[in-house]
Amino acid sequence: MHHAFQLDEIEYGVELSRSATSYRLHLKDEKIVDLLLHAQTDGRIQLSVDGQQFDATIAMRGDEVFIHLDGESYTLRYRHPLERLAAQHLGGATDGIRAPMPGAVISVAVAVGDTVGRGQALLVIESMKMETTLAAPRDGVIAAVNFAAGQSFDRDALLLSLEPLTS
Amino acid sequence: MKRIESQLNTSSAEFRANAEHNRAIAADLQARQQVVRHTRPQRDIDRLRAQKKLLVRERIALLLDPGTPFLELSTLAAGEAYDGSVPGAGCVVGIGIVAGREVVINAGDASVKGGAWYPLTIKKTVRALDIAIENRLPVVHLCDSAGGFLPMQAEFFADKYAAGRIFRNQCMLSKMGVPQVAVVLGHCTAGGAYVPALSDYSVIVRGTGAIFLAGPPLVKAATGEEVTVDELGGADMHTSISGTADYPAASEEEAIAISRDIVGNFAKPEKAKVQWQTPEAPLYDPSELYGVLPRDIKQGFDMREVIARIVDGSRFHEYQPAYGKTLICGYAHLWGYRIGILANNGVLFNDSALKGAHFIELCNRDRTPLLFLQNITGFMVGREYEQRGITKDGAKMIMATSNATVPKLTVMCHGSYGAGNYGMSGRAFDSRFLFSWPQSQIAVMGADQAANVLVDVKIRQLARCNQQLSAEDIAAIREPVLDDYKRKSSAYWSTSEIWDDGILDPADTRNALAIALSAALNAPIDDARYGVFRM
Repeated sequence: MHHAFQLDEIEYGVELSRSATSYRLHLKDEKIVDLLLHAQTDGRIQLSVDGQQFDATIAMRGDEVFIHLDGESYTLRYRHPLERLAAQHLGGATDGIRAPMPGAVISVAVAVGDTVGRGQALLVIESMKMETTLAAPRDGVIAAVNFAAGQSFDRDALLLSLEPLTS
Repeated sequence: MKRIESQLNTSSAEFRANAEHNRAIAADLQARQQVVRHTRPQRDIDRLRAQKKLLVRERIALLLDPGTPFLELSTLAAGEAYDGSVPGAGCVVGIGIVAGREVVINAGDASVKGGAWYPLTIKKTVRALDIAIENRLPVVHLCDSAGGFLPMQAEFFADKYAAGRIFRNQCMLSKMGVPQVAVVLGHCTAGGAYVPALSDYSVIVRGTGAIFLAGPPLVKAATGEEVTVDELGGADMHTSISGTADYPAASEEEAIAISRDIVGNFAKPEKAKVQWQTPEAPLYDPSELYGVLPRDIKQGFDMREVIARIVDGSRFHEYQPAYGKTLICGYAHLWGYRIGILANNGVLFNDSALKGAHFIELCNRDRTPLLFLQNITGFMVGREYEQRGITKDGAKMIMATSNATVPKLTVMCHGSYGAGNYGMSGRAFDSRFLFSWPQSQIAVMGADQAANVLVDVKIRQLARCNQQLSAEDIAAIREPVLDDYKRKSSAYWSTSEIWDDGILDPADTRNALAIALSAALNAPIDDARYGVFRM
C-alpha cells in the first residue's frame, strides 16, 4: 500500500505491506522492517519498529492524525494519493469557467482583477428553469469576464477565466 | 476512496440563511408527524381504553425488539385528503425488527374512524404488502378495523389495486414462502376477515378480537338469527371449532408475545450477498444538509455536497468525472454497503443520459445497489439536441433503470420534473423504496410553465373567435391554475397520495436508506437482463 502523510508542510511517502502478524515498512534501498501496533487497555498504543519499542497516544479527526510520542506532539495529515496527484496538475484545466449547459447569465459577482478564493460564488446562470451558481475551482485572480447579466450563451462557452497559475 | 472536499463555507450568510429556512421546514415536518402519530380526540382514546385496548403505537412498541429502529413509512398518507380527517390514512406501516427478523408491520389504527378502510388506507396497505413481496419480508398484521368506509365503497372495492389486492398479495407472499402472522386485536369484518384467514399464523384476543364475514346486526337482518359476537367469531370459537384462527390469547400483551414467538421461529433465509465493509460516519455532518439545500426550488446546488453528507466517510469514487457532468455517477458506501449513486447536477443532456445508462449497467452487473438522488428539471430540449437524439438517449437511460435488478432506492431531493423523474427511477420504476425531502416538488412541468401553457391555449381558442383576453381575464385563468398546481406539486401532496414511501428529514436520510437497503437485501438479486436499447 502506498500512503502519504504531511508533517510540517513536508510530504512523506510511506509504503506498507502485510506481514504474517502485522505490517512491514518498506524503506529506501529495499530495506524492510517489521512494524507492530499494540493497543493498550488505557488507550495508549505500543509501537514496535524493527524491534524498537515506543509508547504513543494517537487520536484521529477526519484525515488528521494527532500523535503524542516521547513527550512531543505531532500533527500528521493523511494525503489520499488521488488528491495528491491531482493537486500536482491543478491549474490549466481549471483556468476557465465554462458553461455546463446553454442558458443566460443572471448575475456576475466579480470583476476583472478581483482576487477570489476557492468555492467563492462567481456568477449565477439560468438554464432550463434552474438557477446554478458557478464557483471558483481554486484560489486566483479574475482575468476575464466574457458575459454580462442578461446575455445568453451556448454550452461550453467560456464564461469567465482566471489568471493562469505561475509555477 | 478519497473524500469529497466540500466547497461550502458553512459560516457564510447564504449557508446560514439556508440552514435556518430548512430547519424550520424540518421542524414543521416533525410537528405534522407528531400530530398524525399522537393527537386524537379524547373520546376516541377513552373509547379504546374502555374496551381495554392498547393504542396502535403502544402495540407496535410491544412488538418490536427493544432498542431497534422502526422505519415508519407513509406517515403523512392522506394528509391532504378527506379534509385531513384520516391521519396516516388510518393505519401504521413500516419496517421493524421482531425477534431478530426484519419484518413489515401493517397495523390498523382504531383511534381513527374505528380503523375504517378509506381508499388511501387500502393504497397504503397494498403498498406495504408490495414491499413485502418485492423484498421478501415477513409481515405482521395487527388487525383492528371497522371494515371498509361504506360511503366511498366505489373508490376502494372493485379495481385492480383496490381492497382485493390486499388479499391477492397475501396469497402471493404465501406462495413465495414469505410467512405472515396476523394478530386479531379488534374486529375483522367482511373483507378484513380474510387478513387473518390468509395469514400462515393467526393469534386472536379473547373478548375483543373477532373474525366474521358479517357482524351480528347484519346476520340478524339477513337471516333473523340472533347471535353474540363471541359465538359468531370470538377467540374460543375460531381457535377450537372453526380453525380460522390458530392461537387464543387472554390479552393484547399475550397475543403480541405469541406473535413474537412465531416470528422467532420463522426460517431465516440468507440475504443477498453484496459488498460490505466496516461502516464509517460521514466526515461532513448530515445536519449540514439544511445549509446545502437552497431556499428557492429553482436554484441548483452541487449534489456532491449532498452525497458527502450521506455516505460513509464522505468518500466517493466519481465515475467519468469529466463526461456528461450534469449527472454525477460514482461509488460510495452506505453504512458499509457498497452502492452506486446517480445524482443530478443540472438538466440531462445526451452525454449525461448515456453515462447514466452505462453506469447503471456496470452496477447491475456487479450487484451494486443503486441510489438515485433527484433534482431534475428534465432532459434538454431544442433542435440541436433532438437531432443528436436526446429522446432516444433518454430512452436508453429509462430502459436501463427499468430493467436493473439490483435494489434501487430513490430520494426526491429538490425538483423532479418531466421525463427526468422517469430516467432517475421515479415511482413508476419500482424503486424498492422512494422517499421525499419536505421541500421537494414533483410535477410534469414547473407551475409557472404549466400556467403559461394553459393561458396560451385559452388565448388561441378565443383568437379563433376574434376575442381577446384582458389582463384581468388572464390573471383569472392563471391564478387558480397556479395555486392548484403548487399544492399538487408539493411533497405533502405527493406523500398524501402515496407517490412515495414517506417524507424524510434530510438529516435522517443516511439512516433511513440503510434500513431500507438492509431490508431490500432479503430478496435475491436476479441476473441482469434488458430489453432493446435504441442505439
